[in-house]
Amino acid sequence: MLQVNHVTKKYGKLIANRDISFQIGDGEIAVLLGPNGAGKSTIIKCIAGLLRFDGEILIDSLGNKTLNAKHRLGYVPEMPAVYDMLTVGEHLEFMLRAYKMEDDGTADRLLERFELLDKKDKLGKELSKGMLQKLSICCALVHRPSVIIFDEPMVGLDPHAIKQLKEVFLELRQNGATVLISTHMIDSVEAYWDKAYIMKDGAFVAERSASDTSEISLEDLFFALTEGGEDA
Amino acid sequence: MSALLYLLSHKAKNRVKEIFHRPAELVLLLVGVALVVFVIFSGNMDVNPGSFRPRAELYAIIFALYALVFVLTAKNGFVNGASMFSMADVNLLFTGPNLSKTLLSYGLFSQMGRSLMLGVFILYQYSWVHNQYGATVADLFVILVGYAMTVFLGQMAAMLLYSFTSGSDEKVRIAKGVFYGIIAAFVLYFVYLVARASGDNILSRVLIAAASPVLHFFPAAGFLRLGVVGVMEGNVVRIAIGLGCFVGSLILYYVLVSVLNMDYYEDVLKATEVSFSAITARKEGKAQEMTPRNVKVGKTGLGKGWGASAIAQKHNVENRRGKVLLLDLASVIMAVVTIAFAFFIKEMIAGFAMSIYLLIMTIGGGRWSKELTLPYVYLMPEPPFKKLLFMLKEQVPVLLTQSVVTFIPFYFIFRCDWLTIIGFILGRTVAGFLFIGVDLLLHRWFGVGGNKALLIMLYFGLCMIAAVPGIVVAVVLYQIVFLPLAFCVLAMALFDLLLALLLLFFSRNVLSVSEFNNK
Repeated sequence: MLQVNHVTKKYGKLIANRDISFQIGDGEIAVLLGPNGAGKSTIIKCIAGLLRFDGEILIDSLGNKTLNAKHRLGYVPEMPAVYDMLTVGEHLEFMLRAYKMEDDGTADRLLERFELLDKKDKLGKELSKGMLQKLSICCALVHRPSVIIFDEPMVGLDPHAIKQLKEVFLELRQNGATVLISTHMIDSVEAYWDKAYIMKDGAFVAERSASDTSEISLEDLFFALTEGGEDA
Repeated sequence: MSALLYLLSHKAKNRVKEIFHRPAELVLLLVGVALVVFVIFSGNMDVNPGSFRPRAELYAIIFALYALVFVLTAKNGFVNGASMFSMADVNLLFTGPNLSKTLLSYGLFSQMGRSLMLGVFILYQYSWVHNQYGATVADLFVILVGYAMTVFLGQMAAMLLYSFTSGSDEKVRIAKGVFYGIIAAFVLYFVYLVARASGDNILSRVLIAAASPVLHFFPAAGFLRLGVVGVMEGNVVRIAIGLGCFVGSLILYYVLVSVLNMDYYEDVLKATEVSFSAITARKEGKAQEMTPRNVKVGKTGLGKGWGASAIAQKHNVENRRGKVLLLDLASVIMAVVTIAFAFFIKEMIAGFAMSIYLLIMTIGGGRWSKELTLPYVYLMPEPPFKKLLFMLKEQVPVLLTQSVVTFIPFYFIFRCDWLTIIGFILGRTVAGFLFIGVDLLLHRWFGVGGNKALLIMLYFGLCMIAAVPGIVVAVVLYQIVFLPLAFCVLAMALFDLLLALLLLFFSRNVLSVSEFNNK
């Protein structure tokens, strides 16, 4: 479970996130929507424990900066970040060792799924942008986290990888994981979200649950709000 | 006003405005300037003009610095070139109705400003340059301008080399042969001059050789040294020759790049993309390192490491692949400079001080600093201090090896006792961690981003301040308590170790609450 309570993030005078609160339960997929500069990546980084903030973020009821919370968290950054001098396989080995986890075959399964198994011995510096993104996703999942946050995960992926990733989202939900996906590609997440949050100017301007019966689609709502409409 | 002039002037204007709009940067700038002023004022105290060393030594040092900087900058042309353009320049200007020659001039002007900023470390040399050679603040500024011109010409030469050699291994081989052949010819001639010079000692012979007119022909460094010395001595002819050669070289490079290779855009684009991806990656949290063109993967797998110790094991694997040796070229140069300095000055304490001083400039190059630009080390569920120590583990053998190589020759030069040598080795190794502590503290305060030039300025100043308490302890024990030098140096090492641990402890949270961000 992920709980974000009254989180405000400021860069000097600029308020990047303004009093944000939301909660995503186990086995739920939430999407964070918003135009560029809305503050999506900032709140994602706050949750990942990479930024200082005012407020409280709990991962499975633990403060997000505690070691136990870090154990439970997986993070896919907006820009894939890998080590130039480590092979693909070594990245996953490193993650498992760093998180003190034995490899139960998850690493190879992930690599196979994202078509990286034959690139296992390729160095990070030799990977294309799409492969970097795939490896970054594998690194975030290999230690089997219970809360996973994805920051624009579809960018740079080929159709096969997008299909696989969507299946991963659904499997994670099935297995009771908490999933938060930040994106501005609404159509890519339309089919499987349980909760949707729309951000604008650092704050939530709308919140919707999949069970809500509304005549206006998420996409229409998004454009209505982010192109000058009223708050929902 | 032409569009390019408008762009140049507004970029400069906005850069200045930005500093005033960001209080932290303004404070950093003021602190940096205050540190320069402090160095200048503290350096001015108790100077006896009669005790100045020969100016020829300073001129030889200037030549060595310029030559080293020019060679190291220009040789980038064999790898990926050096770009004086930003990605925005490439996308907006190269595709626009601009003459390639005009754009080259624009790139040169933009680069000049950056080169000047890079040389800010020279201002911190005032204290010893003034005390040893009686150099004034104006002299130092002239050296700084000469340094900027050297970097500038080095960049041009790199671009030229890249333009001519890109895409052809054969051309690279030929150009490398010519490039290193010229350097080797000068080095051999210099050695020949030293051998046949008549002087009381090796230092005087080196100085005679360094003053040889033939060295004025060394690319960039030779004539720029001549011009800089001309300004310092008020010799108009030398200034004219230096400046004339600079302008002449500039025109030559300009003509060669723009006329012989009119379509230099492709070469610039490649170099700019490399540099842009490096900048973007840095901003967005991706580790950057100079990796060899061909990497031999060798044995795969980490094999060892659990929790935080996996970081250290990962570094071992990365270093093996990246061919990062315990002693790289920069370390060897540092060791040679230190040994030569101590030998010529005939003062082993001065040599020790020089080694510490040079260490300040290179300590940020370890793998730990790259680690801070990636998210994994922050996300890892381990105590921050433990992660920090394992992250720095690889520096222990590196610093120790550098120190051993630097100070073992001291034993043979000065015939001192081994305990003093051990003191120097430990003192320098510990000082390395002290400076890493300072760097980490700056990361803790300012995050991964921030104005690089200002941070470098602040880093230099803080390193010097951090080194002062240990020096005071050693001086008190040596001058007042009259302990043997070895004990004083060991005491300083112990004091610095405690201070380094304290700094590391204070900055441990850099791995838990860092403002890790791509802003």
